[in-house]
Amino acid sequence: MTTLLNIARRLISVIVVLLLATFLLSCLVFLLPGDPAEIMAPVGAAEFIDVIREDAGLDKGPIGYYFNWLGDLLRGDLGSYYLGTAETPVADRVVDAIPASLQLIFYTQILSLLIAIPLGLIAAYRENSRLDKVINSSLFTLASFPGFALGLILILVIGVNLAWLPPVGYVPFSESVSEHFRYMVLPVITLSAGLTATYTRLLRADVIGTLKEDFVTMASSKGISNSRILWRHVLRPSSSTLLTSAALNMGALIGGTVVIETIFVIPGLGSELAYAIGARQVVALQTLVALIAIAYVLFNTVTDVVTTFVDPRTRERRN
Amino acid sequence: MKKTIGYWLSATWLAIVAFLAIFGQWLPLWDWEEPDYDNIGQTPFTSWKHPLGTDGNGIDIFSGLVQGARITMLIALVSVILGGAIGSALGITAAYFRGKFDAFMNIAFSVVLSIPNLVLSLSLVSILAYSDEDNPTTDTRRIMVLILSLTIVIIPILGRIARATALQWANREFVTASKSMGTRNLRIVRDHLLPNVAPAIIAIAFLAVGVVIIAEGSLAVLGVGVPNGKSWGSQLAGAIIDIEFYPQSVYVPALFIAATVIAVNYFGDYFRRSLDRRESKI
Repeated sequence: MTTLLNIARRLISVIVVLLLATFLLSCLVFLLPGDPAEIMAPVGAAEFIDVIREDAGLDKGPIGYYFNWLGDLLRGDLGSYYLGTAETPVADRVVDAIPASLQLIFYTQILSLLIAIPLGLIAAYRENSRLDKVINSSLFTLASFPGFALGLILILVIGVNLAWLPPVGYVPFSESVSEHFRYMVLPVITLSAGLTATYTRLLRADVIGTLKEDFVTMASSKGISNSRILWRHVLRPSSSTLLTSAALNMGALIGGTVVIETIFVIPGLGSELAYAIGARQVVALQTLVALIAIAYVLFNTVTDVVTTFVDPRTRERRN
Repeated sequence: MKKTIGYWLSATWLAIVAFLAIFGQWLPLWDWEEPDYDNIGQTPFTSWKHPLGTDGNGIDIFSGLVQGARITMLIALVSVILGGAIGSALGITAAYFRGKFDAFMNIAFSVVLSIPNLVLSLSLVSILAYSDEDNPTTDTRRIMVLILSLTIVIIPILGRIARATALQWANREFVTASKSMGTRNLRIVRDHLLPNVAPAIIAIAFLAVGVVIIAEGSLAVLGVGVPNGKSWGSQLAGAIIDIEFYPQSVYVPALFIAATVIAVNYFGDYFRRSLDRRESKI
């Protein structure tokens, strides 16, 4: 019962935070150093300014505008791009952009976990050895590398100089599976660098703890090989922090993809954001940022609630 | 704590960057705004005239980095110091008084943190420093807006840390003792809380400098940063189009930025580890 009450309380606070955040975002439109409707109107189409002002609800003042926007959002209307003679619904472009971003995030998670799990196990098993220190400091360096710097250097070395992989671009999964993955390799490696370091550190710390447990001593006294102990007996009980962190990082990755998508010319949500800025579509920009914030917060909340259910220890601690 | 090679490498690198940022303008370097049309796209380490080579416009890359160090460090230090001061003041006050103010600050921090920091600074800068033919804006104004936006991003990051750390200290015996002796709140916060909370804030502040340098570079790559190659990010972003023909104009600034971020992260990590060690002894 208390768990349900806690979840309800969390849900209310999340809704309050999201309402405030989206309201402040919509106020930004009015902080533009000019008339937003005029800025969004196509060049040389002064007759559309009033139409746009009314269509976006800009004539209703900040508060009226917010509720107009929120009502539209809840009905699934994400506003429009006011370019050329026809209005393009933001929703249409967002739906097209989501797959590329999700693929990027999904592959990044898989790659990071695939690298981090063996590295974390071996680093913990050889705690404080030279290997442990090499793994630790090289991952630290790699993780501190800014995403855009790493991405550009990969483009330069692997894409341009060695020409092993296409430097930039995107091919949809449905068009050609092998080409799709060839194009995805470099951006995914770039995004994975930081995550791999985080995951390895977390897993290493937990495995070091598990290795001190009695059942490990028991298993090794029975003569079970070390690698079997690590993979079969130690990994599972040590992986809950890792999995929670992986889930929480889904949200952080949504932000991280913005620059990487721009550098690698991948038509995802990040590129969409850059497009809206370049085309001076402030209402679309506001909607896109709001969507990212909503996805980010909801994902983190769901992860938190689910881990509370799955792992009773965190429930105790939180109360 | 033992000082490793990484410590000395990071310290040396940051000292070089600080030296270039402060005294670079008096060094006998090629004028960074003056293209050398006779040596376009020179590779690094091939002449004394342009030690790190030139880009596709004949601009000296090293002079550009020295100029960029000034602006990038200015943006990073001002926004972290300002954001850190405001964030710690709010966080410590919230932790000390609890109650409604604390609840309010908690929500306020969550609201700002609900938007990924890069996306938030991207939208703030692109709107507050918006410019077109009818609404012109100056480079100085753009830099100011950038600092303001990044300060807003930093406040809740350091505020949260300050609040959490202050909470651990606010109920210790010496604080209660001080309260019962009738010491004024301001004095308790200043004499008892601040000295204990400061080390944690300083450790995270180093990491925050890294966050700001990365954000500055990312914003430049996205086309809303400092204009005209005046900062590191801007120098790099302007050269991306030349990546195939004059690779040095991309990888030299990229490695410069990366080395600086690695160095500040190392220091942040070092301080945090020595802090953990100190606390485990208590």
